[in-house]
Amino acid sequence: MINVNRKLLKSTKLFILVLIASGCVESNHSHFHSAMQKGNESFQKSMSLGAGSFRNPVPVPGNRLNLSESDIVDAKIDPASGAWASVTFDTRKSVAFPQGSDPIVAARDLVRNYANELGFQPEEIVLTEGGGSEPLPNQILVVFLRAYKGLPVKGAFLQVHLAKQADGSLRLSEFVNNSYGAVSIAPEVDLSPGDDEAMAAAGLEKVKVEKRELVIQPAIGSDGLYEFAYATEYKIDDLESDEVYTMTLTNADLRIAEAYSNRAYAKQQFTAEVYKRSYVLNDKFFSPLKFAQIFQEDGSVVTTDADGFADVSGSSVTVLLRGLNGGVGVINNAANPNAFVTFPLTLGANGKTSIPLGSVDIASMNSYAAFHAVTDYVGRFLTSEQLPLLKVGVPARVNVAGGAETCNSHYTVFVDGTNAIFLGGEGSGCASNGAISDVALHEYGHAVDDWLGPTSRRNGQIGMTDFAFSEGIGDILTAYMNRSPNVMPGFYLNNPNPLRVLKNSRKYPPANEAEAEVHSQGLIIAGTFWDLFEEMTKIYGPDEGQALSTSLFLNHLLITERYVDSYQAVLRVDDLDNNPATSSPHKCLITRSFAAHNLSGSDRVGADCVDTDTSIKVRVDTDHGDGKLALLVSAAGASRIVGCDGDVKGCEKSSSGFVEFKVAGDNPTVGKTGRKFFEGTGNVQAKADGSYSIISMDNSGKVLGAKTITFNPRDQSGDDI
Amino acid sequence: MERIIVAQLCLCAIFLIGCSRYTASYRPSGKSKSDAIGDPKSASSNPNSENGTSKPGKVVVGPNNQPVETPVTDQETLLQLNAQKFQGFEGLKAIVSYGDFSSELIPMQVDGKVGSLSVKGLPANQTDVLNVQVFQGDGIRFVAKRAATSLKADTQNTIVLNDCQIMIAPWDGKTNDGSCAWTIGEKK
Repeated sequence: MINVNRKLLKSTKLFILVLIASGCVESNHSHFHSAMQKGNESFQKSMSLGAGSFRNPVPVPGNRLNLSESDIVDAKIDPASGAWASVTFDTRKSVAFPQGSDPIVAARDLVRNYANELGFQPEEIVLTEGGGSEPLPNQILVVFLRAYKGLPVKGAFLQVHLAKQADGSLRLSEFVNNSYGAVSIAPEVDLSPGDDEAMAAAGLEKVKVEKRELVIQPAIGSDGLYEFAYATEYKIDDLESDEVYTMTLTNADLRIAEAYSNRAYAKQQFTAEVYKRSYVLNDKFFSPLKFAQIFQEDGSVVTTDADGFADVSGSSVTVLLRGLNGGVGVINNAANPNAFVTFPLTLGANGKTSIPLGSVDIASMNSYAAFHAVTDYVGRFLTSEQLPLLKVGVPARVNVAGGAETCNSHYTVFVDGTNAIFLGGEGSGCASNGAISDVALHEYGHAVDDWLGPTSRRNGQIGMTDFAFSEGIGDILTAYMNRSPNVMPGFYLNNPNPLRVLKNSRKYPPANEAEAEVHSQGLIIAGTFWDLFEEMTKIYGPDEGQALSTSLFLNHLLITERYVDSYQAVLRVDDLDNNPATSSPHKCLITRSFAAHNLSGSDRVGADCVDTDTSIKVRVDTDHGDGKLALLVSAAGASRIVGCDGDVKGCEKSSSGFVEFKVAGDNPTVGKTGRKFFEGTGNVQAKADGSYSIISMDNSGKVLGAKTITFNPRDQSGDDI
Repeated sequence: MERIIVAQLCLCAIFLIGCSRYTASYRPSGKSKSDAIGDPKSASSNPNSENGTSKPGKVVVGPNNQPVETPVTDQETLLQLNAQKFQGFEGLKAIVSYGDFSSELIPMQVDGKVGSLSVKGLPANQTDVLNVQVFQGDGIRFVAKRAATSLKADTQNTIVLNDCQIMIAPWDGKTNDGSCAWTIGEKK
C-alpha cells in the first residue's frame, strides 16, 4: 500500500469481501498445449535439444591411420570411439575402380578394406533408399546406415564419396563416418517398454503410439567414450494437434535418449517497450515479454520463455498477459475488469516482434514487465520453497479508479484467502501507478512480506503483522533493486520527485503521530537497510554489495515479524558458524547501520571496528619453495590491498611480512569480469599454523575489511605425473 | 527419410558450432618477447657467434660494457604435463616463457595421462620461473609455473609439471587456490 490511510488497512484486515476470484477473470480462450508444454521436464528438455549428438573430431596425421601420408588431404578421428571421423584423399593417388564399376559395390569393398578403421563391419551395412546418388557433377555419394545384430544403431551412418574421373573410373575421395565405432552392449533388457509405460515415462497424455521399433542407442559415457543401450523408438501422434513426436527411450531404465517433433518451429522473440522505473524518468527500454500466453491462428497456445522466445507459426497471434502456471497476470480494470489483458499482434518477419510503448495499454504492459522483473530479482536470493509466491504469483489490476484507489495502490488479501495487487489509475493529481515500475515493486514487497516469516500465508495466516515493517519492506525491495534510495518518482503527475527517500536519519521510536503513520514509520527500517546497502557497497562494490545486502534483507524476513527484531535477525543470517558468541563477518556495518536508527538496542561499535571482507580470495601464483609464495588476490570492491603477518585488522609498512599488492592490469591468467585482481609486489612467507591478514582499502587508504588466511602444508604423497 | 535425418544432423551440427563459437578477450600473440632469443635466423647474423656455428645465444651487456652471450639449450626441451585436467579439451596449444624467452604457440600432444611440449632455444645455465600458458583457440585454459628451474646447455632437458602445478585459467577469483606444497584456509 502506497499512500494513506490506516482505515483502509484495517478494512483490509477485516477481510473486505471483494468478489474477485481467479475463476471470474479467466480468459475465454480454449487451451491447447503444444509440444513445448507437453510431457514432463525430461521430455521437454529432450525436445529442446532435438535430434543428434556429436563429438568434435580430432585431426590426426595420416600415418596414424595406416594410410600413406601422401594420399591424404585431411584426416580426423572420433575421440569417443577412435574410429575415423573423416578422411579426404588426393584422388590422383587414391584407390581406383575401373570404368563401369557399381558405386555401391565399390563402396562396400572400401568398407571391407577399412572395416576396423571405420568401426563399421560389412555385415552391418544397411543401404539407404536409392543407394548411391550423384548430388554434384561427377561426385557420387553412397550412404550406408548401420545395424548391429539386426538392430539399427541410432544416428550411425557412413558416407562414401567417389569422384568420377574423365576416363569413367571412380576414385575414393572422402569418408564421412559417424559409425560410433565398435559396439559393446551388455546383455540387458531388449524388450520394449509397453506404450502406457513409455508414455508415462515421458509424462505424455492424449497421445497415441503409432509405431515402435527396437534400436541400439549410443550415448557419451562418463569416460568420454561411447556406450550403447537397447532402446525403443516411438512415433507418437498428438491427439490434440497434428504434431508427431519421435521419442527414443532406453529399455532398461526408461531414460529419454532423444525426442523431436515433425514440426519445424520458428522461434520468435517478443519484447515490449516499458519503463525501467517510471514514465517521469522516460527510461524506456525493450524488455523480453516473459511467460505470456501466445494464441496462434490454428488455436494452439504457446508460452514465451524467460527471454521472450516462443515457437510460433503464421503471421499474427493474440497475446494474453498471464502466465500459464498462475504466475504474473494483469487485468486492465478500465477496459475489462473480468479478463486478463489480451491484444492482437502481427509477428515480425525477422523473428523479432517488438511491442512499442503505447501500442498496448501502458499501465498493463509496464506493470506486467515490472512484476516479472521483481520476481526474477527476488528469485535470485530465495527459492520457491522458501517463498511460494515465486511460483504462484499474484494477479494485479491496473487503472483502478475511484474511492480508496485515488492516488493509491495496495496489496489486498481477500476473505477467501486469495490476494491481488491494485495499481491506481491516473487522477486527482496522481499518475497512473501502472506507469511507475517502482510502485509495482513496492506492492510486490507486501506480497513478499505476506508469504515470509513465522506468520505467513503458507500456514494459512495473513503474513503482514507489522504494517510499518511491511511498508518498509516494499520500499527497501524497490530501493535495492534500483540501487537508489529515492523510490517511486513521478507518483504525483509529472513530478519527478520521489514519493519517499530512504537515505534519512529517522530513529526509532517515532517521535510523533505523523512519524508513526505506517508509511512514515516504515522509513525508519528502510533507512537502516539503505545505510547497510551503502556500507556493503563500499566493501564489495555495486554488484556484490547489492547481492549481499539483498540476501541479508530477504533471508532475515524468513525469521522476522517485526522490524524492531530485524537487527538480531540480520546478525543471525550473517552468522557463518551459527554461533552468536562469535562475531558475524559484517557485525560492524550491521551494528553501525542499525545503531544510526536506534534499532540495535544497546549494541554500538566504534569507528575502528573492521568487518571481514568475505570477497577476498587468494591464489598461489608461484611457489618459490621454502614457503616463499607469490600471491594473487581477488576482491569485489577494494581499490588497494596490503597484507602482513598475523590475525590483524590493519597493516603498516613496518609490519612483519608486509606486502603491497598492485592491480593486476593485463595479467592474462586472471578473470576479466566482476572482480578486481591484485598481484603481490613481494613474496609472502608461508608458515604452518601461521596466520596472514589481507586488508582491503578504498582509494584513500581507508580500511574496508580484512581477511585472515592460514597456510597449511599439503600432503603430496599421492602426486603423480 | 534418411536424407531428412542427415539434413537434420547437419542443421544441428551447424547450430552447435554457431552456439559454441566464443571469442576470448585475451588473444595469444605467440610473439617472442625478444626476437633475437633462440631464433636461428637472428643467430646466424649474430656478430657475436663463433664461426657462425656456435649455439645461438642472447647478447647482453656484461662487465666493462662488453657484450656477453648467454647460452641456450642445445636440444629441444621436453615438458611433460600431467594431463588429468586436460580431459575433454582438444587442440590445446601453449606458450612457454622462461626468463626473457617466450615461445610461439606450440601444439600440445596429449597421450593418455601425459601432455607433451617440445621447446627450442630456452636459455640455459640460469635459474628462473618456467611459465606455461595453455590455450584452446583464443582462450587461455590453464597456467603452470615452476620456480627455480635450471636447464643445461648440452643435454636434453626434461621438465615434469605435476597436476598440482597446473591451474585453471583465467582464475575467476572466487575460490582460494594453493600450491603443491601449501593449501590455503580461511580463519573464521
